[in-house]
Amino acid sequence: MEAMVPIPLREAIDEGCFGEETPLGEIERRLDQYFSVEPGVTRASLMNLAIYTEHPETLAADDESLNRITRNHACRALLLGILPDREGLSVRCWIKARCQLGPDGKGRLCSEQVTFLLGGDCQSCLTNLVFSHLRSDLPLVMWWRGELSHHFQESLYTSIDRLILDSSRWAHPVPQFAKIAQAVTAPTGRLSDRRGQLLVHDLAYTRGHQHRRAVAVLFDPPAARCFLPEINRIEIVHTPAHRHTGLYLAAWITRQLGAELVERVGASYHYQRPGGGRISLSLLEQSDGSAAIPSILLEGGGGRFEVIASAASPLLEIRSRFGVHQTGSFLPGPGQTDEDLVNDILMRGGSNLLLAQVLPRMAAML
Amino acid sequence: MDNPFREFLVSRSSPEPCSVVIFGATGDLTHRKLIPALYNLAKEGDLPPGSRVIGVARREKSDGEFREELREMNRKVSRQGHDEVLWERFAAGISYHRSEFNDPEGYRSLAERLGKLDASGPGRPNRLFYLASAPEFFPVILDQLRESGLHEAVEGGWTRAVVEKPFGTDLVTAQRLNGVANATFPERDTYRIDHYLGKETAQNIMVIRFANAIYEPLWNSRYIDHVQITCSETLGMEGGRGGYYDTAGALRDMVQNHLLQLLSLIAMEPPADLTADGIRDEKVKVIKSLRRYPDARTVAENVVRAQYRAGTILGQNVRGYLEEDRIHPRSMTEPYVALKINIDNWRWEGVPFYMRMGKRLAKKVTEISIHFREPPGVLFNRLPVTARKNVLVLRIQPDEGMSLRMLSKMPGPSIRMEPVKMDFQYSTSFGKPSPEAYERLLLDAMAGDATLFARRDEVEHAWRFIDDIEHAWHRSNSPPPMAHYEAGTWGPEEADNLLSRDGRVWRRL
Ligand SMILES: NC(=O)c1ccc[n+]([C@@H]2O[C@H](COP(=O)([O-])OP(=O)(O)OC[C@H]3O[C@@H](n4cnc5c(N)ncnc54)[C@H](OP(=O)(O)O)[C@@H]3O)[C@@H](O)[C@H]2O)c1
Repeated sequence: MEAMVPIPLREAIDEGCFGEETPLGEIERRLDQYFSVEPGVTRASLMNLAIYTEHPETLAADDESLNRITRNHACRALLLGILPDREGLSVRCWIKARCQLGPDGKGRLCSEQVTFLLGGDCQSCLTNLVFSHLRSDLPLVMWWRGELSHHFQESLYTSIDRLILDSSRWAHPVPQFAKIAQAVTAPTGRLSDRRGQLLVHDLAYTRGHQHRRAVAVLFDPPAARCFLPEINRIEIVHTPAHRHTGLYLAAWITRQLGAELVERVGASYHYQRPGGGRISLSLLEQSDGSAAIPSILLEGGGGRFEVIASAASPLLEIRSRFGVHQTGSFLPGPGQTDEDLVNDILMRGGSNLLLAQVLPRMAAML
Repeated sequence: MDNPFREFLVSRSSPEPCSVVIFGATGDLTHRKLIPALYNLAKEGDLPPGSRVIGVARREKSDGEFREELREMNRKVSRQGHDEVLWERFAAGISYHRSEFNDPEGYRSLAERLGKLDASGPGRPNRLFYLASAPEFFPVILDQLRESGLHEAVEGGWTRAVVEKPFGTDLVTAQRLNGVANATFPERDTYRIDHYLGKETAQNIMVIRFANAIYEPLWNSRYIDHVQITCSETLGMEGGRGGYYDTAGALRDMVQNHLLQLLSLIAMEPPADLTADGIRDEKVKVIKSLRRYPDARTVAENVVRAQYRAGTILGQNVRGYLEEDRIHPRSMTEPYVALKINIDNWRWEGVPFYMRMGKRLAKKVTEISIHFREPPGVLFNRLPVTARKNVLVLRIQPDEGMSLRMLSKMPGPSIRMEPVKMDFQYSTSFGKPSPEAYERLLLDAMAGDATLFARRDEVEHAWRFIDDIEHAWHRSNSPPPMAHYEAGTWGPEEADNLLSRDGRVWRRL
């Protein structure tokens, strides 16, 4: 890499929040130094967590995101801001420790963060920069903000263990999903000891997690399950920003019912069930309200099953009416922010098999 | 028909909505542990909607008064705080049923009440009877449940019983209680609580052993020198606990259940599968293989009982055991016990398990430590070094986690080695706090998963082992002596001798 050339950050950014500016070759030494002089500090790390963005004006917000995630997940955090349209190559970096009181107020528990601002369009530079600043033996989780650009290339993604993205922010989802499909099936890279495929988490899918739980709860009573073969109408309401979450829920519900897509007319989709029955599914856009998915309805055979995002609280209300029964209850609602969702993903881990099954069905509905 | 929407959604068996009927609902356990556990499950969305709580006790009380008392306590002790809106929704499913435990009429009206509740919703008529009363009432409650027909599962549902500790006071009483329990509920529907098994580290023992390639090959007498299990408390007999404790003692109160359960998890063979019986089959084999102490002499050689004398803990003067409230002044009950246990099977031949449990000790800790054999005394090991053995420590409380001690070269031109410690703590590694043991156990009982509950044969074999010792202490002609230690220390000298005789020492904690 060439000598460091200062990159002017746009005025709106408070680069002070990134910590101490450090020459590239000094990062590890200075971090070690920090931890060796601070008494009562535990340098904790369960993973390498990188946030990637090509919009450095959001770096301060991304820094705050890391602040909220590292409270729950000790890690080496890498914040990667890329300015691909800069002439020549240039890098600036900062280091800092994020500490909090340990349990019972004893000692301090610290994650460490390295922030890079990388100018110039150099694919391998990014990959090498990441590789040379990972903590060994720990998995690499990458939260890719925005579109998957040409920086999302094989040498990088084959070394990632868990990839987090948000398809609802993509302007052109079809080619983006194609890239994901390619990355998922690529063989594991040299620098990863993961077995099996790259694990992908789409926040648009995670946003629907509590809704999926709620739908499952609706059909826990055996008497309610008798209505499953009768379901012939599904209606999912979503806000404009969260169409993908609606699509994922639609793809999931119909998959679990064993129904196959036969026809699409605008926002209405028609499915065929194995026994010959049909389901019509509509996705309705509603512009007001804060919940990503204000409601889900499943209906048929005289049964009615609903999940409703409560306007007054973060809870989900479930209601059902079938036979002589009428029930209602509340469940925890979805995470409010992207950081809540990422926290949730990191907490649950797992192989995310269901998304892998639902993703092709969802992509077919785009 | 299975619920297709449950596929992949949870990686554990799902709890089913049920009516949780708590006998002893105005008691300490219900207020401090059970209701907060259910509330926290509801908060996490893990309590199946449609679940209800019916508290049974004898005092006159309205539903409203009962809920109010529970709310007050939940505010104080709930692990994840107290949210009024959520509490209101949760508490709407709580009601109070007044009855004496031995009053058949109370059970008849309870049955009626449950019938009405079941008929009012679409859920199955599932019932979980939780015996949270003093243990002398367990047989009465079980008998009454049977006589009122409440023990029978209603069509389409299940009926289970959770029984609190202590499960008997010796083999005979445990067998009698098991007799009553099994005459009322089949063994598969009987859940004997051992809240130690609900703790993360206890569950983690199997994961550490059977999910990592590096430990299991070393987990035998060839590589392990000995194992220590310590459960120490700083508390004495405050808060009126003396009355019960003086009838029990450390051996019956802690060793028979919690510590032998931990020992069996450490010592068991890999189970054939992870089913409740697959695991419990292996645990019970360990307990059956414990070498028994046939007479007072072997008990005296292998077990030390002790009482504390006055001393200081954290700068506070504290009384001796015999001066504590509600303790008989000539009591022969032991607030401290240390044992050397041998397991007579292939894997553990010649590997002693040392166990100690005591009140008014220097620190509150529960830990298991695996002490590996010394490496051959050549090369580096010719040199003198303080702590040569590798020690793997599994901490149950506080700071659940584990650590591994090993030797490392000190920087410098000479070869000097010092022990270093690799440490892992749950709370600093995983953001999410561990759920309370009771949360996990209640959920498992609702899901019909008995893995973390003690089975009849485990309990009885454990009592068989304990009874030999109790017998030598209290019924033999030459009972082993009662040792003494100063409160605030690490126990009596006799317990140190138990190890020093074998050329070993208790770990410094
Ligand atoms: N407390 C704990 O933290 C803890 C921990 C582990 C295990 N345990 C075990 O849990 C069990 C209960 O302990 P606890 O501390 O909660 O006991 P507790 O505070 O003494 O409560 C006893 C309960 O039983 C009821 N009761 C007593 N006699 C009755 C009768 N004849 N008819 C109807 N109800 C009667 C009392 O109701 P009234 O109020 O109406 O008299 C009260 O609700 C014990 O087996 C104990 O070993 C407790």
